[in-house]
Amino acid sequence: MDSLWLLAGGFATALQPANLAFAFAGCLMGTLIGVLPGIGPAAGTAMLIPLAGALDPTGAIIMLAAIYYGAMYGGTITSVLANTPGEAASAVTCIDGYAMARTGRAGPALAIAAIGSFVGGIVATIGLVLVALPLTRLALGFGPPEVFALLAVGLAMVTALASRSAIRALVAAVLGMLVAQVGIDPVMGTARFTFGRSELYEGVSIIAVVMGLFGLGEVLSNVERRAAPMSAPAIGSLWLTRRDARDSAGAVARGTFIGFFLGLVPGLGSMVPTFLSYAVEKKLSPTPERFGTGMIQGVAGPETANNAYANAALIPLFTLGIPSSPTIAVLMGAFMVNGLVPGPTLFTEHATFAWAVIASLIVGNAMLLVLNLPLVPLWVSLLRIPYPVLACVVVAFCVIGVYSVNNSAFDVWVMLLFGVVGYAFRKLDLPVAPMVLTLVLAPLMERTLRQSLEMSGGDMSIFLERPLSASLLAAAIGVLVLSALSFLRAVRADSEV
Amino acid sequence: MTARARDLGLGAALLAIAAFFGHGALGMRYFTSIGPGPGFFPRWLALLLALLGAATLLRALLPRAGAGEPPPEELPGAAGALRVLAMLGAVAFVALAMERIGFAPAMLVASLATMAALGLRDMRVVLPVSLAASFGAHLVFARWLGVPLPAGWLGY
Repeated sequence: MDSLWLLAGGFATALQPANLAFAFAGCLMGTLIGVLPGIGPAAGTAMLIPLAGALDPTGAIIMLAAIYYGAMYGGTITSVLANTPGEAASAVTCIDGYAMARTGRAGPALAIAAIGSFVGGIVATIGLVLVALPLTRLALGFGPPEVFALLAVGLAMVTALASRSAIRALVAAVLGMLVAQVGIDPVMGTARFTFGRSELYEGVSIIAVVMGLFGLGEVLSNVERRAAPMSAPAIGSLWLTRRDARDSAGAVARGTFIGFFLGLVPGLGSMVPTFLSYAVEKKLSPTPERFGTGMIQGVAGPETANNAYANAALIPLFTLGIPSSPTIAVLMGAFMVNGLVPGPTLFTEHATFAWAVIASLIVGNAMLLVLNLPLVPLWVSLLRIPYPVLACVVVAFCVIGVYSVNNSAFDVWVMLLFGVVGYAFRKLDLPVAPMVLTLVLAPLMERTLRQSLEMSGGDMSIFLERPLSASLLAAAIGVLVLSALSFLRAVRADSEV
Repeated sequence: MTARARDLGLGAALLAIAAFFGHGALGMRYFTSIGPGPGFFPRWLALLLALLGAATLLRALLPRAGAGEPPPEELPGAAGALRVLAMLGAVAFVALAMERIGFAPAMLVASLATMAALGLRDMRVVLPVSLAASFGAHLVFARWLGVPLPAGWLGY
């Protein structure tokens, strides 16, 4: 009941004209980022952090959160119309979405994606409302061993599911942790791997790394291939037939369930829920052989799971301070730019802000539903922009975004370096997401490991003596063992991030 | 590039990175009277990376290395490599010049050069886009939104 009162207060803030405008602008910019190839949600959100710095914290985070879930929907449009996912999580939508478009049914595919995204987003946000306070109370009781064990679960999930090869995912994860070693050590204050540069004392800028890996790295890959402007088929009527609605209802419900529960797992990444949902729909269908020819369930399930995941993934951030994906890591950075620390204390020290952002998720999801379908022709026209123009604009935004965080040209060099790293990762078939996640999580992981060992005088058995940390570590090991089984292997085969 | 060549290169690079971080970590305290020191975490991470590098190398040396895997990404051709280098050069120029001549002039030069290098020569497109990405972006972000960007010529 407390939660509902607090949510009502959140709506009072979220429905203020200025905050409505921020949500609206965020939905528009997010959809644009999702539509345009070569700008994923992580780089897109990071590019717009300077805007956040110029606004009041509540408005800024409302806008950035709207950009995040707007991008998730925007990616669908190019998947359906041009067989090109605007962002990675929409890749599976290409299969049946594009097949529908080729048979003149792009309209119903986009409509069910919007409706499914709305349902998934709203249910996940209601879930966030219900579990936020209980999870926060639980998290406040966590000691360093429990936090370390929870992060180990996230790391195990990343390793198991971020790539076809567990070794390659682990390589990326360990490289991210090593990059996180640069800077002042979190316990004793010793400078590590800083090469005497004062700019590195506070560590490598996460925003610069994200922009490099996801923004500049993607631009480099695209200019190498000389990406061509895309053309799109006719959209046709947006109305669903009665049969479409009947066929999609179960897929939307299952997609919501899958997206919500996978969103609670730290470190999973946004592609797994969509591919799992597609696999489930195909498995449950009486005509699995027709998947790939334009089955509406193949769009409804994954798109619902995608948005349910996107909203539910905010739960670990809000309650535990743990980002689940690179984009959420960027959002976490935006919280910090605005002087807010995500985690259990957010609901005690900044309750008005936290509940306003949660209420804005409901408002923003409703806006996306109303806004996006009528604007589809506008988004389609953007696909005709020549890539050199897009590359210039992306680079300008990246430079502004990176420079403005610390007012430092050094960070632009860091972005350049990680742009090369991101480009090399694609050539070497290494997943990028684990590197960003461990870069963000490693300082907390190291601090909690060291605090735990200080508590025990160096005895590792402290992790096994405490029931919760022992259970979580057992779960982490279980995940790694399960990753060898065929079920998960089938999912991860296509989940390259 | 074959999968075997790719993995041999990757394995060697990982071993080199592990050696760099491991060597650095050896110069830091591993354990102190109150618990693990600053060298504890990087030392274990460097060891783990070295093991992963060795595993990657070993896999690449197996007789059927790469069998059943999708083909690796091709290395860029000469024209593709030139476009990538032009893009990197443009960003490096902005990083070098923005605090000396200002964000907008640096970005204007970089945009004009990039679009030329990427094959877009129509000045009716190139000029407005370059001006928007440089002076336009400065106007919106620095002047209107108060985002700190280095100013140079004429306050841009």
